Amino acid sequence: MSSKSYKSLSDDIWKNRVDKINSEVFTLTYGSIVAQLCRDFTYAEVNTQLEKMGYNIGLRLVEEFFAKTGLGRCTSFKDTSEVISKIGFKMFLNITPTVTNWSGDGKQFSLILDDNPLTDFVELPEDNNAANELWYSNVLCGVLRGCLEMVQLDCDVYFVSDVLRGDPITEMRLKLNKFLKDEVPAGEE
Amino acid sequence: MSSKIYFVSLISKDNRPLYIQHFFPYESLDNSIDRQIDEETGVESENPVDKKKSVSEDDETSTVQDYLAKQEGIENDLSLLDGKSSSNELLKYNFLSHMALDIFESPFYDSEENTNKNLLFIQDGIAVYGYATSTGFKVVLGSSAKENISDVLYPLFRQIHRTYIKLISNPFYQQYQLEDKTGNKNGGLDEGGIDNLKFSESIKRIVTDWNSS
Repeated sequence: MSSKSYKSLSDDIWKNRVDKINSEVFTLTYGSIVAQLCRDFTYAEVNTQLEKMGYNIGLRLVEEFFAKTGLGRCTSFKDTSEVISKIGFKMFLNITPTVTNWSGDGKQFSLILDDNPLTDFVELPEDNNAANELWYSNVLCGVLRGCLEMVQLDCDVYFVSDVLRGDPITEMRLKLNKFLKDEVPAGEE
Repeated sequence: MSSKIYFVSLISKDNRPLYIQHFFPYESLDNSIDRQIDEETGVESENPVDKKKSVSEDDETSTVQDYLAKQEGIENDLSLLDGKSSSNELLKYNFLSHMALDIFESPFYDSEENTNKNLLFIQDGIAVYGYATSTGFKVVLGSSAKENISDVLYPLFRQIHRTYIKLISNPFYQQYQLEDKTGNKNGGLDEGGIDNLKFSESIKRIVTDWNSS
């Protein structure tokens, strides 16, 4: 499928086939989750917890994704990146991050998010090094890792920079480690 | 119509001051009041820094010393202070805000958001307008307008309110002191004021834009 048809598919899905939630409810809910985690854990642990939460979301979200889009397997990792940015993010967050910074072997790329609905109105606390340690939207990394694992792609997903921390852009990096072979469960034939 | 806003103050629902900012050097027409205040500041400014900075719950009876001590802190931050402004003006605006609080609580104040009923009183040539929400958040503005400009001010009140909403929507901003895990009481209000630089800049920008139009 071409890039243009991805866009029209995702616009169509967003307009017609997706239930919407008020953005402030969503933002404030996620914000209160992060704020509460920050009260209970150190910032490094918060990042881990957010990633774990995202992972569990991603495992389930990917089924929803395939149900709504009806897409088949991607032909290449490049194709995967297009689907993630143009359809996946569009469907669930109504944003379209840009795919850039491909590595030479085609196994790593970056997603640049120019606006992030999770971080509306958010300012990181100025004390305690939040700006150096906390990745506020780390749940997104977990979601992507979970979704990709369900399609047999073992990836590392991590933030490289974040506007909340004072960086100029918000950038996530995806690195493909390996393809997961379908393992036959023990005891079956 | 060239009415200017002299000051903005924001007050929380239990009548604690959140933020006060002044904008325009007030040309005093009534010298007698200023002289009186001069005497007070002359006397009290001997030792302002030692006084406790926190403002008590019952604001109606807090002392002049508290105001001055607070002004010391606020004055260091205000970038709009030029040589003409003085702690007298801040004191005056503080008094006016406190007078406004009494009116908010009086039975004559209609707390529906009528656009033409915001004028609270006029004192010393400053017309004081107030805006209160049902959560108890109050905005007090003092302006130089000679006639009632309540409806013109209404969008300004709304903008200030929206800026405040953006501030409190931050999940890390704690409006009421909560204990964090080390038992310290931390948060946005430890001395009864909003510290946030971005918020301060937005309010300044909103009012200076309004003043210059």
